[in-house]
Amino acid sequence: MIDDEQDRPVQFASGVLGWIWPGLGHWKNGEADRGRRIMLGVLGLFLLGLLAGGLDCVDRRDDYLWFIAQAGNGPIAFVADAANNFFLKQGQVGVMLPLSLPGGGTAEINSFKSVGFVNEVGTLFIAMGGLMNVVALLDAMRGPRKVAR
Amino acid sequence: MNLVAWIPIVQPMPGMIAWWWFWVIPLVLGVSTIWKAIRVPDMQHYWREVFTMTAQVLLGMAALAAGLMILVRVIVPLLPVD
Repeated sequence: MIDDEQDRPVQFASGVLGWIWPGLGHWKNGEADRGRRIMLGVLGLFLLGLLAGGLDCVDRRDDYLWFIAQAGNGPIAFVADAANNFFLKQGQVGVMLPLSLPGGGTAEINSFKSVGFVNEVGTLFIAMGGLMNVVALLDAMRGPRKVAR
Repeated sequence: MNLVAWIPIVQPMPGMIAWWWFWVIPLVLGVSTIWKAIRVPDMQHYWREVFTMTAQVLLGMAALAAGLMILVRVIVPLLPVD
């Protein structure tokens, strides 16, 4: 380690800010440049994930284990999940198609739902961004570095 | 669906299934961007560090893939079958 980090008090506010918006915790610590680059990385992964797999990649109900990792992105993950519910699951866009379930019965899925590799790539991008943002906010909670960066 | 009819973010990207493996490059670049933003002591050489880490991870993955391919296609067929 470069500086004596054990002497620094834990900055919970920086952690919370880092969760609310990626990089904001470092910005509060006076490391705006570092925060901007964290924001670039996390939001880049988030947007690329949505571009690849669409809104269906963030699904708190159907993919809740993935969503635990995706929630690390902050409120934007919950907004994407709400948008998925509103636009895709309620059929505001696309066409609701009937689907026969293996155990009998039917359900409806949206024609814009992503499947296979497309869904997996998008889900993975957003989950990786969330996990990396957790690393970043834990770093922000250590407080500002004593060595000028 | 063609690209003109695509609604970005709402719909999945059309045609990407053929080159899904290519997405490992932006994925690794994104992870490196965040990791190096946390770890590098001096931001002056930040992007060099990011691209170096990206190249290292991609080369490591390519080496693992090559090793697994040799194992599956060369070594395993040489094993005796009872």
